[in-house]
Amino acid sequence: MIDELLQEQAALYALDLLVESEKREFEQRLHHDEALRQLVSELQLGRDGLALQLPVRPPSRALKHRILETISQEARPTKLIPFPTWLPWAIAACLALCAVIFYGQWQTVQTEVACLRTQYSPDQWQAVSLRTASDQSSEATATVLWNHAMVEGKLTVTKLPPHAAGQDYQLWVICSVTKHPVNAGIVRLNAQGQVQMSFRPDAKIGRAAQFCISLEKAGGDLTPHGPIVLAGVVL
Amino acid sequence: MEPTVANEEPTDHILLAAIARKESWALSEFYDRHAGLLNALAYRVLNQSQEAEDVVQEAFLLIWHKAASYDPRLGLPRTWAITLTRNKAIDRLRARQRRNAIMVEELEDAPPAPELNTVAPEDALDQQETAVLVRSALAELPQEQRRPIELAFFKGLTHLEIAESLREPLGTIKARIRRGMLKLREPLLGLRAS
Repeated sequence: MIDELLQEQAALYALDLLVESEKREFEQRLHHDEALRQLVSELQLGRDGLALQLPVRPPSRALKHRILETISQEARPTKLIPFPTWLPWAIAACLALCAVIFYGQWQTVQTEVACLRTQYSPDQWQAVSLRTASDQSSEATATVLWNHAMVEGKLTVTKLPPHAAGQDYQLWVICSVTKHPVNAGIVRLNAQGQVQMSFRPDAKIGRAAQFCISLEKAGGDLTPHGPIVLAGVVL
Repeated sequence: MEPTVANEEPTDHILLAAIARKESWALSEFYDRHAGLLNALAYRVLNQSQEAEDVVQEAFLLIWHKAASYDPRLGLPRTWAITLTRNKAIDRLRARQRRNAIMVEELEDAPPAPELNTVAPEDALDQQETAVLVRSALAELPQEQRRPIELAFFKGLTHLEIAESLREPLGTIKARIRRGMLKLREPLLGLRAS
């Protein structure tokens, strides 16, 4: 005999109205109670009747087609794209080409690194101080950082007095072999009488023996004619 | 593959077994047999034709995928299909209500419980005859019993929500649901007995 409370729970269960905990408890009871199972199944039939009493409403014709099409697509095996036999060879060729290109680039980089190492090695650079040659009261100083290997240098000048109009300071490198001065460029001062510049001799020289700055006509000269303002000997 | 017995209509149980074997003719047949009923149910819940058809589509795809896990000892195929469709429709209804901020209600994601039906297979129960009987039983139900049952089944309201909606104590609502559900099953029992 099923009491009213249990009938109520069965009715609520058939309508999916029990909360989760009540539902679990009720389902456990169902497993052991044949009469209760019978009641629930009858109530479910009654519940189904709620749907059965509705006027039948056929869906659109397209719906069935959509459903059957969907399941046929699911069942259809995925079309495999044939794997081209040439593809592995093409990939291998690309890899080989890349390897050749990268090797060439690597060699270039190595050469550049070696060159830069040589260029910026402390052993290759020598500092030469340039002092005033005549005017002892002048505070002008200059320093040349000279690279024997690269045959180039960097000049730093301070407190060099401004020159008169129509004149320019000019830098010279004296070759140790020919003893001739070779033009290394015009020294253009800023308002404070300072300059920092890189330079290269105009002509090929052996080893630099001396650097000097002379006062020449505007635009410089092929050989020094004016007075030597600063000079320094390479030791 | 076509059914081997051409002259006999396969039962719903046979159709579901064939669907479980991924025989599409069986789903087609099951669809022809129940789509009208399931669409009516979904439409009754959602009151929107397109959404109802979407629900029917989801339900049939679910039947296609889950047929292998259907246990005939636990209920009728039609009951199972009704449960799947009704739950899908209620899910949509609740989602729509959340969107519209009409009702703030957590969606219960729990899968539907197995339909425990130990009654003999109901394939013999003619659907139209059942419909007539239930319609008659529903018509005889007092409004106070009919209304909470319909709110639960078609609107997916909980018994608390039904009590609030009808402004009746929860205990009263539960008792009315019990009495109403017991009355609903009576004509079906008579049909089975005959």
